[in-house]
Amino acid sequence: MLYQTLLLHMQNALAQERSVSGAYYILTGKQSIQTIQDAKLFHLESYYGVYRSLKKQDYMERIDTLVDSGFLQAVEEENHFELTNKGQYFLNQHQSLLQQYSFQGIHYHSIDRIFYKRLLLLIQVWTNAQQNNATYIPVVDEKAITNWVKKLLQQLPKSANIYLNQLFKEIFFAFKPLDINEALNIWVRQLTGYRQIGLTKQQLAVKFEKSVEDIHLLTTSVTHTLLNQIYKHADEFILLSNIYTQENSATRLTRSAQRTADFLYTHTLEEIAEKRRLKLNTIYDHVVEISLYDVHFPLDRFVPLSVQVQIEQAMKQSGSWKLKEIKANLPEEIRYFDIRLVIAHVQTYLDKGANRSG
Amino acid sequence: MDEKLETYLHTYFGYHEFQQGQREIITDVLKGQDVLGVLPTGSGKSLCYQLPAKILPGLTIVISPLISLMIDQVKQMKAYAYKEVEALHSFQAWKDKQQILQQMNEYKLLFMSPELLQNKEIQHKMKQVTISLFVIDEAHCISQWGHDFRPDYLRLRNIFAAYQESPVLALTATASSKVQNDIEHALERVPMQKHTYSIERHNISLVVEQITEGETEKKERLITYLTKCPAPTIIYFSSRMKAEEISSYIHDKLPDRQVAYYHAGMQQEERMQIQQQFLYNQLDIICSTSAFGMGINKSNIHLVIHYHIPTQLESFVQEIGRAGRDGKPSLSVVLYRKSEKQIPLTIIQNEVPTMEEITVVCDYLQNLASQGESVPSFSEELSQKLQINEVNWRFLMFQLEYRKMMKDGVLESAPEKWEKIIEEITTFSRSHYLNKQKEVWKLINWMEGTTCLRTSLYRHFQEHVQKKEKNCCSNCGVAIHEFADSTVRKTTQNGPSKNWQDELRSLLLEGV
Repeated sequence: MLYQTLLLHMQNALAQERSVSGAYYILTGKQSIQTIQDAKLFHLESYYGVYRSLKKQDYMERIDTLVDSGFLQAVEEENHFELTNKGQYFLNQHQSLLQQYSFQGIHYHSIDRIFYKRLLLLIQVWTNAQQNNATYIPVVDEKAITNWVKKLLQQLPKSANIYLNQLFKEIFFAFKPLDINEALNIWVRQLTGYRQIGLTKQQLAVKFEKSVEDIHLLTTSVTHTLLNQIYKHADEFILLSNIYTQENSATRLTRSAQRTADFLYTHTLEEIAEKRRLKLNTIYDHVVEISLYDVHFPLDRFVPLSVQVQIEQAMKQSGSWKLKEIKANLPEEIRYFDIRLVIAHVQTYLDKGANRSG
Repeated sequence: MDEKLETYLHTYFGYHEFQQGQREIITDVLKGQDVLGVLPTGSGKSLCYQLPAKILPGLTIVISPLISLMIDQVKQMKAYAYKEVEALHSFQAWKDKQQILQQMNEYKLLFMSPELLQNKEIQHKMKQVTISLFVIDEAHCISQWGHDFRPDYLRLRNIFAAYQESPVLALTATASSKVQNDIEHALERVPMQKHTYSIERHNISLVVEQITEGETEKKERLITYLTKCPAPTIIYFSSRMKAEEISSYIHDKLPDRQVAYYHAGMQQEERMQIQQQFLYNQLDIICSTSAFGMGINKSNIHLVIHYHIPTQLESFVQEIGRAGRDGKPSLSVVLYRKSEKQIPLTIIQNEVPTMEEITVVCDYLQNLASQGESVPSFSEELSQKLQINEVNWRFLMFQLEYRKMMKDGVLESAPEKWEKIIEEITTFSRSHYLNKQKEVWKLINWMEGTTCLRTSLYRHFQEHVQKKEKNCCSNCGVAIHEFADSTVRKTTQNGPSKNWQDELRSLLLEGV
């Protein structure tokens, strides 16, 4: 239900301005500036990267099903869809689900999985240590995660039950005020302890009579909620804060964009391109991405004020966020780069007051 | 030495005594002899190299055919505090592979898939360390008549030739004398010291149930067996879809039992979870394709059902061998519909290229050769373009190499040679197919036979088959109800579902 509602919500928000792949790229957190910008433009940033393992084929099959059952219909332009009345009605009926479950993809898409897996492994390690059992197969085998956990364990020399008690208190405290019992139950049942292996998403889907996609989204939403609690009250979640370290906050920018950002105030764009042996267009992409995250981005340095004004007018005129249509209403010499920067700026400006309210 | 071995066994593995065959094989390996060991599944084959690897000064390399099996084994060994072990395989990220190669001299045991051993860089790295022992796990894969022939295995001898000083240990659970001969010769290590043990599993009773009224009857009979003999159970299928379908059928029909499916189409992590749940008795029935069971060491499986039959007696023997490792009475049931003979016959058809496929691939390669290009590696794209599956592509690559049409990826360009080779390979494929067909028929004949199923099954592998007085087979008479296992819990999970608070509390605080 949640997945279907979300798909309809996203198609609706993208309002025929993007092809059906647009929503897919947002859900899977495609690291392209177009996608990040779209997520912001159409107010879908909460869902950016919330379903990174979603396969294109499965996504398309679900879209086909929504078309077949009369929730979506194709519009003239290829691969574009709009909601039917039935779809609109369904969305209105279930929209509240999207308020009930909080997502903050734009903030947590790069950390949620890591945090969750660290926690998963730690619980397994501690519960087994507590029973003096050293022979078990770790549920997580990614080197990055296991190495990190090993390091943390070295810093935490006390006996396992102290940490288990603390962990229980913190999770309990974070979950207690929430009115989403089923989702919490689903989240908890994926944890692995001593001789108690967590259920797979597929098993949970059968048990709770939901789709695998819904199980995935509910799990992600609970993780985001937990992360948000930790973010807001770090002093109350001592142990969990340790697991959610800030080392990953920089990854809100793509890695490559981060490196461009390091040079941005000391070099011209051309110099950066040469230094990094990248195409100038790639550097443009980075700059737009940086501008999305930085409210103090010096737009005037890149786009003269007079051009900014022209672009903003063209945006109003075409009544659309589509680059092509905006460009058509502007003099030839104004580049796509200029337009994208201005759009990003307008958007960032609009968002200023609403920081972090997923 | 003998007493010392026992000390090692206890120090490294915590066991006090060896199981049948282990001491004999290990002693010969440590003497530096080439050994062929045929030991039944579940008899501790892997200890035969794990222990020598600990004792020998250099590195032991284990060639293993299935990557998932390899990963499982490494995980299990690490879980049991055997830390100097790693696996190298083609699913690894380049970075991880490099890291393992850099630290090669720090390991005692390295698992490797056979195709990686052909890699020049890896061969180069191998030269820089001392290799004390080569092990070939599932050695029947070397033999073209073995049930799981892997062309890559035949290339191993070229590697081993450069390590005349390092002994080779070939291990398998099922090998007829024909296959044993093949293994020896293919490795060019003749003679090998042979240690073969009876693969007959005396605690397993054999039932073949003839299904005459189609799929519905089959499903009903399945439920009957599961109800009459509640026990930790594996049910084998030849298709993923059917495994999923029947799993959900059982879920509906027997709501108080815990059932899940398992196949190679699932993600590695999910597969691991299901295996572990089964191991810890959270699940009692697994609907699986043949991918299941190779890596797991669960001793209390007491019922193995074949919903579909495999393509060979050898696979069958190996699959039922997962039952009753704790020595308790166990039951093997085949639900057999005569009309389903077609299933294994079709499967083997897909495992051998047709003349058309051979021609398409050869023409394509000949064309590449004329342009001076080398052989591409297998990809989804190539598979689409040439309409050929990976098994057949590998088969053809090996044939071409074997027949000197290519070397190190460089192709022969003379057109007349290509014409001849297409004919040759086609003839060979045909005879290969007919041999596989014979193997299917052996299994079918066994199932349709009216004499003692135990004698007629195991006489394919050994001369002497021990008589079983009670519950021998369905032709001699088996009392099904005696196989009910009282330890299977009619699950508590049928009761009211715990809420997250209780669930979290019991997970984190039980025992605190």
